[in-house]
Amino acid sequence: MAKVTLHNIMKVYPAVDRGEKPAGKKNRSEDFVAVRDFNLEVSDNEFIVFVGPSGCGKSTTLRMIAGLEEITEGEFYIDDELVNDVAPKDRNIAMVFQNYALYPHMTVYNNMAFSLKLRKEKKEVIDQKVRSSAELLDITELLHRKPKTLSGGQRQRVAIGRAIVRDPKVFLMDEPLSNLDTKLRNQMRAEIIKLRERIQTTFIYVTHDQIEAMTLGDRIVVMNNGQIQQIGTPQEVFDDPSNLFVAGFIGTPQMNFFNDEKLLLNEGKYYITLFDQNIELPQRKQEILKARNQEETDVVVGIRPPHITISDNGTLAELDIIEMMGSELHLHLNVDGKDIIVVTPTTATDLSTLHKHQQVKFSFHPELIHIFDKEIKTNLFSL
Amino acid sequence: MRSARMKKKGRRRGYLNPSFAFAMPGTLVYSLLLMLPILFAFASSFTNWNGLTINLENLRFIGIDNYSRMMEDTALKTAVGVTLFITVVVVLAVNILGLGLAVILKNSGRMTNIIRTVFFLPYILSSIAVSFIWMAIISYTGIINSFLISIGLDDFIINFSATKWSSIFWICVVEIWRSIGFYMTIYLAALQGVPQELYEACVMDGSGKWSRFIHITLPMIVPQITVAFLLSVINELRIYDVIFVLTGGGPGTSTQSITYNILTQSFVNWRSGYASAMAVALCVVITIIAAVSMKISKKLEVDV
Repeated sequence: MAKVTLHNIMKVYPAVDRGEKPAGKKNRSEDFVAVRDFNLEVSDNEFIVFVGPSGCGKSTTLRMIAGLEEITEGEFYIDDELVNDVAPKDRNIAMVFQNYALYPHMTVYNNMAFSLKLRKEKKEVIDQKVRSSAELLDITELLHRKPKTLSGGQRQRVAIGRAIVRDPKVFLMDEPLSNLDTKLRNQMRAEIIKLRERIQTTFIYVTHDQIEAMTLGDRIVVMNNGQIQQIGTPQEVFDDPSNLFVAGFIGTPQMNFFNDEKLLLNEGKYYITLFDQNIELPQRKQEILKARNQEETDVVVGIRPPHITISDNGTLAELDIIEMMGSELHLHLNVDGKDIIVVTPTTATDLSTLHKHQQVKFSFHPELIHIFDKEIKTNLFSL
Repeated sequence: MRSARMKKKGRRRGYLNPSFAFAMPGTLVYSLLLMLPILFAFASSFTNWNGLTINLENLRFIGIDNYSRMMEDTALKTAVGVTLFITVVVVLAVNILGLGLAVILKNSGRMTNIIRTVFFLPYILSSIAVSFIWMAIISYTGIINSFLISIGLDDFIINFSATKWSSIFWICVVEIWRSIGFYMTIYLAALQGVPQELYEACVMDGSGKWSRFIHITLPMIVPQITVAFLLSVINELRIYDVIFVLTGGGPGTSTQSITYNILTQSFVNWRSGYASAMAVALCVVITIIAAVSMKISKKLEVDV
């Protein structure tokens, strides 16, 4: 258990070292800035998830926490102790790697016991710790086997076992489920949730999968281009995305965006233009905009697909595509050439009444729309 | 159906299977230049052939006489001792130093690339050429002695061929210098095949550099260690040309290697039957060493 604080963390790869690093923003001549202005406080026992697209800097940040990458600028504290220059082995951090990184020449037992042996723990202590961790992960019967003979899921458990056997202050996981098939991934996700209840420690978890992020994290750190876009609980990030990127990245199918809309102010009331109508914003949103003296501006309007309903009244559209996803239907509507996705529960819709190129009407609740400044791309309702 | 019928038709007319036809030239050359001489050497090792005569009347089958004579041959015993000594020293040196160099030069950069090339260069020269280069340096009238004399250090001049052990020392130096780049290259390739993640996991587990080398690098490159070890053993057991140029087997016959001895017996003493028997014995020894080390390596090898 430990508190982790990252203050103004920055990672720059000098031009000469580059090559295998992903493309991104450049700074100073040819230097590559992988992470910038990273500020985060992780409390004791918290489960934090870094999520973002490939190359957004989430793994780099995790590797800086682990000590596998040097921190170019900024301070990194574990329990109020500055550990920028502390060697990885002295940070008391354990890490689970994406490809497991099990030692192929050692049995599962030795893989798990290796770090304890290096610490010169007594044989009985090692044995007791390895066996209790193996029991916790249900891998006792695999202890004498070599990693090559294990399935992906079993290897994953061993990798986790190797980490928890050390009783680390901070537990890092770098996309640990991305090499598993969907079924196994769902299963392991549930196991990580259970594991987290059993071992009291601080978790930092990296993923590009928003479902993992939403289901595992106490808080989510959404990253893009080496910068934090938003930190919040899964609910906060979903309900109040701080900017266009977060709104588009979190939520499947993606939020519907309407790019060429306007925020109007008329007699002290705010309206938005959408589908050739002026829609008055609800009271709560009016107040937020008023409080910051928001002026009229160009905006992007966003509505999540489940927040649009097919109804008897509303805007007329043509039904382009019907996707049956099992428990829900994804309907692609066409309004003046613009594709709008609607998600509706299968149980609430009579499929036989829907067919391609049919004219339908849809509506949405103004309370559930998001408005983003078109230029700076921030959410106008974010406080 | 059609091709089956064509095949049948082809066979009836007496055509060769095309795959045999394609393999024929290679097989022919290989048989003529390699298999036949080997079989011939094996056969002649049971005869008293002198390597010159084609008069079959004087050629006698003498059974295993040549093989039993080897047991009492003192020159051969010396040669075996010299060869084994050189083999042990050179094999250990090129493998340990080669691996050491590979570890140092693992990360590529402009400077390390140049150094790698410099170390590899001697290997592409013929060993005869390498030996003559070294002769120019270490011989009595060579560069080192000329330099020592020019600065007045006459007392320190080297006479490398004066004694058996100084000769062997310099033979080993030249052999190591010549071949270390090759083994370094094998180890460089081996090191690059070890997944970086394993090292990182090891760092997280709390290991230092030495412990990473022992616990990750070494076990992961066992197959390449076997290959390098085997190649170096085979090369050194067959050592000939460096000795031929540097010492000519001297002083006396004290630095003759097994191969040197075989060639002397065959082309100086004209006892080709006996020389063939020695060659066959050497071949058997090398085969046994190869088989044993493969077996050991298989046990140590890591399945990834």
